[in-house]
Amino acid sequence: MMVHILEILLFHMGVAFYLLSGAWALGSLLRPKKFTYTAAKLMAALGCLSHLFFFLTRLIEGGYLPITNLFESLAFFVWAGIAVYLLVDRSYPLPSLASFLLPLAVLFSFVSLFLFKPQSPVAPDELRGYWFSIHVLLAFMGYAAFTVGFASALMYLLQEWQLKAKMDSGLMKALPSLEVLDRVNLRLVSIGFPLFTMALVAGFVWAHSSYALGPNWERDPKVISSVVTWLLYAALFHIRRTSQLAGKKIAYLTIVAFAFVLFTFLGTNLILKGPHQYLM
Amino acid sequence: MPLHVLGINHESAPVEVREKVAISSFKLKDALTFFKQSLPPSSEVVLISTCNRVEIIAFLPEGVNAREALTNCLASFHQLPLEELKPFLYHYEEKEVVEHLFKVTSSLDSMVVGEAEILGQVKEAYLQALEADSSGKSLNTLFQRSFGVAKAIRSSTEIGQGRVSVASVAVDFAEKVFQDLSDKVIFLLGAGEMSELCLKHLMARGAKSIIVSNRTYAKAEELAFMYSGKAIRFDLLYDYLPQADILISSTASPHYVLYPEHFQKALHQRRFRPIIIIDIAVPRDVHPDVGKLDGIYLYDIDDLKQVVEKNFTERQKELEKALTMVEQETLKFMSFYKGLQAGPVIKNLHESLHQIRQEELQKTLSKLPSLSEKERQEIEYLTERIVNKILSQPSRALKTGAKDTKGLHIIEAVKALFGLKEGGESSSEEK
Repeated sequence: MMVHILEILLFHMGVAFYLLSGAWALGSLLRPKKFTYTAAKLMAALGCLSHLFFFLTRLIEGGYLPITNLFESLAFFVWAGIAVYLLVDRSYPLPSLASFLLPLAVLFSFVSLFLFKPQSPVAPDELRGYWFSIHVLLAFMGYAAFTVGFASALMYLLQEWQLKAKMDSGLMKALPSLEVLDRVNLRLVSIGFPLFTMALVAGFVWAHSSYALGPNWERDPKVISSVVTWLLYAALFHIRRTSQLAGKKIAYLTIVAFAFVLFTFLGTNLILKGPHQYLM
Repeated sequence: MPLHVLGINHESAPVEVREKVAISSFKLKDALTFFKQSLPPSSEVVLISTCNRVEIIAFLPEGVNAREALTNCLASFHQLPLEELKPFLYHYEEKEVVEHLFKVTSSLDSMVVGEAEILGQVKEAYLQALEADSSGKSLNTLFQRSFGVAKAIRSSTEIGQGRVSVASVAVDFAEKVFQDLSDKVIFLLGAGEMSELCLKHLMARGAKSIIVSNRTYAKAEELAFMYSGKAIRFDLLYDYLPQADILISSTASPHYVLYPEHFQKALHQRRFRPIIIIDIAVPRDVHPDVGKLDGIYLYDIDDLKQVVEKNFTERQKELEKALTMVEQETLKFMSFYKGLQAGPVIKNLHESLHQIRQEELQKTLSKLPSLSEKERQEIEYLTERIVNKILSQPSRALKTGAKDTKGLHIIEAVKALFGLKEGGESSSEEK
C-alpha cells in the first residue's frame, strides 16, 4: 500500500516538474530574464529524477521492467527523451532546443497522466524475460535520441527558412546556427541508430525464443514498421557519409524517418492489430 | 540651482566649425584647468568633446552671466573670435541641462540613435574632470545619475538593438549559418571599403583564412598581405570557388561574374557544405538565381540595406519610449536634488532660529541677575522648547515635501520667509 502511495507521489511530482520546466522553457523564449533556461533545465532534471525513482520503485515491486503497457511506455519515452536532451545539453547548450522539446514532453506527460494506473498490472510471463527488457530499454533510448534529433532537424528547417527569407527576425536570432543544428542532428542519429539496431536484434532474439508474438512474428506490424524505420535511418547515415544531399534535404529525411518512429512506437499499437497489441 | 550647458553638436554646426572647437583627449586636462581658473571659484565644470559635439557642462554660482562667461572661456582657450562661435552655440539652464545630459548619455541625441560609444565617451570626460579636480559634488551627482539612466534605457528599451550597418548585418547572417568562423575560408573577390569592412568584422569574430582575388593581381597581393591571406589570379576564380565558405563579392564588373552552374559545381565539390555570399557590388556580381540553390545563402546590397532600414525604424519607435523615460528621470532627479538641499535648509533654519533664541535669552537673563541657577535653567529650557516646537512642523514638511515637485516650492518659500541665503546663513541679523 505504502509503495503504491509512493509511486503515485513520485509520478505526479515528476509530471509537475515537467510541466514547470515546459512552462519555463516557453517563457525563456519570450522573457528570457524572468524565465531562465537554467531554471527550466533544473526542473526537467528534477522531473527526470522523480520518474527514475518511480520506475525503480515499480521495478523493485514487480520484479520486471516496468514498460509493459501504454502508460508506462509513454512515461518512459518522455523520461528517456528528457534524459537524452539533458545529456546533449552538456555538449551543446541550446536554449532554443529546450523551448521545443520540453513543451513537447509536457504534452506527452499529460497524456500519460490520464492513462496512469496506480497499480502496475501483472504482466504476462512473456514480458518478463531478460531479452525483452533489454529490447525495450534499448528501443526507447533509441526513440529518445531520434526524437531529439527530430527536434533539431525541425529547428534546422526553421532557421533555413529564416535565412533564405533574409530577415533578421527574432526567430533567426533565437535559433542556433545551421552548423550547430546539423551537428546535433548527426550526433543524435549516430547515438540512436546503434541503440535502435541493438534493440531490434534483442527483439528478434526474444521474439524467436519466447514465441510471445506467435510463430509468424516477422509479419507483426510493429516488427515490419521497425525494420522500415531502421532502413530509413540507415539510408540517412549512408547519405550523410557519401555527402549526396545538402543540409536541408537531410533535415527533411530525418523528419520522415521520425514519422516512422512515431508510427512504430504508437501507430502500430493503436491502429493495427497484432501480438504487440497487448502492450496497452 | 545654477546648472548650465553650452555647446555645439552635429545639428547646430557644420563639421568645419566643430573641428575648430574640438578638444583632443590630450588637451582635455589643460582645457579643464583653464576653465577652472577662468571661472569664478566654487564653479564646477566638465567638458565633453567628441567628433559630433563639444559641450561644457558647468555649475556656476548665482548672479554670473553663464552664457557670456562660458563662451568667452571657450573662445579664448581656442584663440578664436567670439563672433565666429556665437551663432552655433546652444545654451540650456537648470532642468533643461539635466534632460539634455540624460539624452546625450543615453545616445538619444546622437547621429545614430542607440549607438554604444557615447556612454564611454561621457564617462571618460567625467573621469578626466574628476582627475583635474574641476567637477564637484553637484556635477558628480548629475553625471553618475546620467550613467544610471543610460543603462536603464539601454536595458528596458530596444534602442540599441538591431544592427544598423550593412557589414554587421552581413556578419550576423554569416554567424547563423556557421557557428565557428575560425575554420572557415573567406573569399574576397574584388575590393572596396564596404567589402573590407565586412572582412574586418568577420575577422573580429574569429575568421582567419582569407583568399583574395582581383582583376588586378597586384591589388590582390596587396590585400592578401594586409590580411595575411592568399592571393590568386582572377582567372583561377572558379577553381578556388569550392574552397569558399563565405564569399564577399564586390568587383567593378558591369555583368554577373558568377552563375548558378558555377555554384552547383562548387557545392558538389565541397560535399554540400553551405556557402554564404555577400554580394555588395552594384551592379551585382552574382546572378540572383544562385540564391535559389540548396545550401547557398545569398545576400545582396539591397537585402542588407533593407534589414538596416528596418532596424532603424525600430530604433525610432524605441526613441519615443526612451524620451519618456528621460522626462521621468529628469523630474526625479530635480526633486532628488532639491531634496538634497532640504538638509542644509533645515539646518540653517534651526541655526537661525536658535541664534535668535540665544540672543533674546541672554538679553533677559542679564536683566535678572538675582535668579537662581535652577530658575535660569528653567527659562533656558522654556526658550528651547518653544523654538523646537515651532521648528518641528516646518522641518518635517521640508523633509517630506522635498521628495516631490511641491517640495521645490516649499524650500524656496522657507528660504524667502526666513531670509536664508543659498549658502545657508541667515541674512537677517536684525535684533
